[in-house]
Amino acid sequence: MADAGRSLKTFYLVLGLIAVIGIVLIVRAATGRPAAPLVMAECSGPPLGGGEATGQALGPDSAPVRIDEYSDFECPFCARFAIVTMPDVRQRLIPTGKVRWRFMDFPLQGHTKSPVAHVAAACAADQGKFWEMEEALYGDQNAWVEDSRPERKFVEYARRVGLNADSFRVCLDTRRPWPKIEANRCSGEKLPSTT
Amino acid sequence: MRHRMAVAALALVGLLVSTYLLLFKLGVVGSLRCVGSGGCERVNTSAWSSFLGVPVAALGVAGYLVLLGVAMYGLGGDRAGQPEATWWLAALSGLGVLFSLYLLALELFVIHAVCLWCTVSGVTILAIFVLSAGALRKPSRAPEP
Repeated sequence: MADAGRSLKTFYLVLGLIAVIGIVLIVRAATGRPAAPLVMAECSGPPLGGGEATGQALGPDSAPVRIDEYSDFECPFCARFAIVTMPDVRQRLIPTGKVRWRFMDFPLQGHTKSPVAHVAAACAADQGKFWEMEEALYGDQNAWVEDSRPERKFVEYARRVGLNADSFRVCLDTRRPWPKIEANRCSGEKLPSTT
Repeated sequence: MRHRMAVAALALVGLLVSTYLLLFKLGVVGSLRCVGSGGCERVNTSAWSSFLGVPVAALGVAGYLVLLGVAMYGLGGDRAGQPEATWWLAALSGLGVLFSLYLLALELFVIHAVCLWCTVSGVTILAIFVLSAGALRKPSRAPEP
């Protein structure tokens, strides 16, 4: 009887130990170090991290009409344009050489998920699939905007459009293309605007 | 009695693994630690990560909770020498093994990705079944006075 009691005591100890270790590991995973925050800097200074405002171009530089589109992935009007109008532009104006279209990142203040979406698109561009990712981001805008961790959705899209998911994830986690995105945004901020 | 202790410990491990997967599914855990090229997340974000509208990980949490409860109940008082709890453990874990085989088949032949944590859960439920079924084959002993 005393042996059984000792054995039960050891059992409860082991069980408690497993529970504590497991809970600690899960809490650590849930509250792990978040990826570097994406800060939109003032555009008056020199470009952050040496990024250049190159954008993502479609069509030849020699085209008679050159359009720079400053766009925000979280903006519903940009999404409407990308879904409704852009396919027409791509079908009729780009292949005929009439237009060179350039997508310029322009994440807006207050659109909290937009910066990381722009990073996702730039990471896709690193693998030559910017436009495929742009379509995925605008096409599924509601889903990732409402997701508490939109990065998971972006990895799904990366797989769907045929990217190397590991390289994409590293790029996304390190926010590597952020200086380029900031350079694109600041080039837009410096333009004269009329409303 | 020993096999029920082992089953309880294994059920707790399974419960923790399922909780981790469920927290990922619910968006509380951002990414899963995994080996290989993201098989865990591919499986756990696929259309097959829910069964009849319920996340598979939630079914795992519920299943392991029941197994843990039955094993603990079977350790108490004079129930340690009675075979009923072991029968329940063997039957429930048997169902769990069948469900795990179905999930493994989906991973291998439909999703084409293997999830490490799902495999850990599969091995855990198999071990619980082997222990419980093995204990049923042995003649039961009355608890020591």
